[in-house]
Amino acid sequence: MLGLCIQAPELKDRNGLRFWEAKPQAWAQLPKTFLRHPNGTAIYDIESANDARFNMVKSELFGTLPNEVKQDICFPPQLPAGTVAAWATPRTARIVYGNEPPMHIPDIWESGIAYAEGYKTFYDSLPNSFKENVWFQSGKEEILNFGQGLPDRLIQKHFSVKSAMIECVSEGYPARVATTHKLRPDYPGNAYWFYRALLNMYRDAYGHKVKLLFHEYKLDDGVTDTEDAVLLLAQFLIVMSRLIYESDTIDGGAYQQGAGTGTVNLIGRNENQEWVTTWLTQLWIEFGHVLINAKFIETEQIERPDYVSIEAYEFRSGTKYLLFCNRGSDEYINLPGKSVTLFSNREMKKTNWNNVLPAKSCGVIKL
Amino acid sequence: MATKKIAAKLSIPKGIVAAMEVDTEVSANVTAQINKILPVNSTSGTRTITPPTTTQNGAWFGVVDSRNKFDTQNCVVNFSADNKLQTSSSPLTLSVEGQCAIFVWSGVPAAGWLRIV
Repeated sequence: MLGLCIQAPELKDRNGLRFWEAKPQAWAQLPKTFLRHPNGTAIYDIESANDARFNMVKSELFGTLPNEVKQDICFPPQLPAGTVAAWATPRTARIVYGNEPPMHIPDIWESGIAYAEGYKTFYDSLPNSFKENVWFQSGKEEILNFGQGLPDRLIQKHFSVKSAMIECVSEGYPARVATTHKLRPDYPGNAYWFYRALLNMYRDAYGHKVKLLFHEYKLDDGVTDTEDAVLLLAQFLIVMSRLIYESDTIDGGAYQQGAGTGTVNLIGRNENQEWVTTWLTQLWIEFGHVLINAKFIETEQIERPDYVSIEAYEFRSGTKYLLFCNRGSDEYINLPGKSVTLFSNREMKKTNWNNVLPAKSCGVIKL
Repeated sequence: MATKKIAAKLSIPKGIVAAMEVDTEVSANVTAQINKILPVNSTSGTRTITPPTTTQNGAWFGVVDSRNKFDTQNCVVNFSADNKLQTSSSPLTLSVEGQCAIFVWSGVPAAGWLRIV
C-alpha cells in the first residue's frame, strides 16, 4: 500500500526548488514501493509521449530512487497505445487505462460502454508483455452502495461503468480493477468490517479472482493536516495490512497526497511557498518502515473494540511491533504492561505512555 | 456441516473461525440467529431467511447452502427498511450452488448489515 502519487512534479518553492531538491532527506526517508505518475485528471492534458513532466519524473525523480521502486502509469486514453512502449522502463509496473471514468462521463467517455470499448481496444493492441500489467477502472462500490444523498446522475455514471466492465470481464478480459478511494470518517461499521464488505462487493461483481488496486487513496477534499487526517491514514494502512494478509484480493495502493500543494501532502508546499513535512510525514515513515520490513502476525480479530485498529508485525530480527489507531474513541483504553510510543501530536515529538492507548491517537508499540 | 469445512469453503480467516458456531440445519423459513451460521436445506423449495435484529456492533450471522440447491431453489435473505443490507431495503437472493454469505452488523441502522463473504 506504500505507493506515492506524484501529481505535479514541476512545482517549485519560492527558492525555485522542487520537493525532492528542497527536502532530500525527507524524500529519501519516506518508505515507497512505487510512484504513480502520471495520474489524475492531468493525464488528459498530455499531448504526446514526449511529455515534459513524464520525462522529468523518469529522469530526475527516479534518479533519486533505488531500482526496486517501481512506476505505475495512469494511461492517457487520447494517446496511441504504442506510447506505453515509449514510456516503459524496467521500473514500469501497473498500467491503468484512464482516470476515474465515471467522473469523466460524458466529457471524455459518453458512457460506461464507451470506456469499456476504449479499454478493450487499448488492451488488444498491446503486446502480451504489457497486457499482464494492464488494469481498468470500475464504478466505485462505496458510491454505489453507500452513496445516499449523492446525485442520481453521479450514481448512474458509476453504475454504467461497472456494468460495462462486468461485461468486459465476462468476455475474458482480466479482472484487475483499479479504484480511487476517499478516506472518510463516516463509512459504516468499524473500518475492518467496512473494507471486508467493500472487497466482497468487488468479488460479487467480478468474481473471486478479482484483484483490486487502490491506485489513488486520499483524504477527502478540504481536509487539512489535522488529527483526523493522521488517524484516517493510520487506520487505513493498518486495516489494509490485515486484509492483504487474509486474502489475495488487494494488489496494492498509492497515497494520492505524496507531494504537492498543501500540508496534507507528505511533502507539502505551504502558503509561504515552502516545502514542509508534517505529522502525516512522520506517520508514513514510522508505519511504512514496519509495513515494508516486517511481516504480519496473525492475531484473532474477534472481540476487539470497534473503534480501535491494532495489528502485530515481526521483523526478521524477531523484534515485534504493534501499529495502532484509536480513532473512534474519546476514551483511554487500558493496555496492561505495555509502554506506548505516540507520535500523533502536532509537535511530532514522540511521547511515552504507560499501559493505555490514549484517546484519538495512533502510533507504534514495541513489544 | 462442520465449522472447519464451512470456514474453508468461505475462505474465512482463522481468527474469525474460532468464534464461529454452526446452527442446526433448517428446511423452513426461519429467522437467523446472531453469531451463528445457518445451514439452509432448499431441496424441497425456496427458503426465506429473516435477518436477526441487533444493536450490538460486530454481531454477525451467516447462511450457507448445505445441500447445494440454491441455484434451483433460491434462498432469499429478507432484508427490509427496518433491517437493511448496506443501506438497501431490498431482499438479497442467494442463487449460486453451495453459496455462503456472512453479514456483520455495522452499528448504524441506516446502513444495517455489511456482507463480508
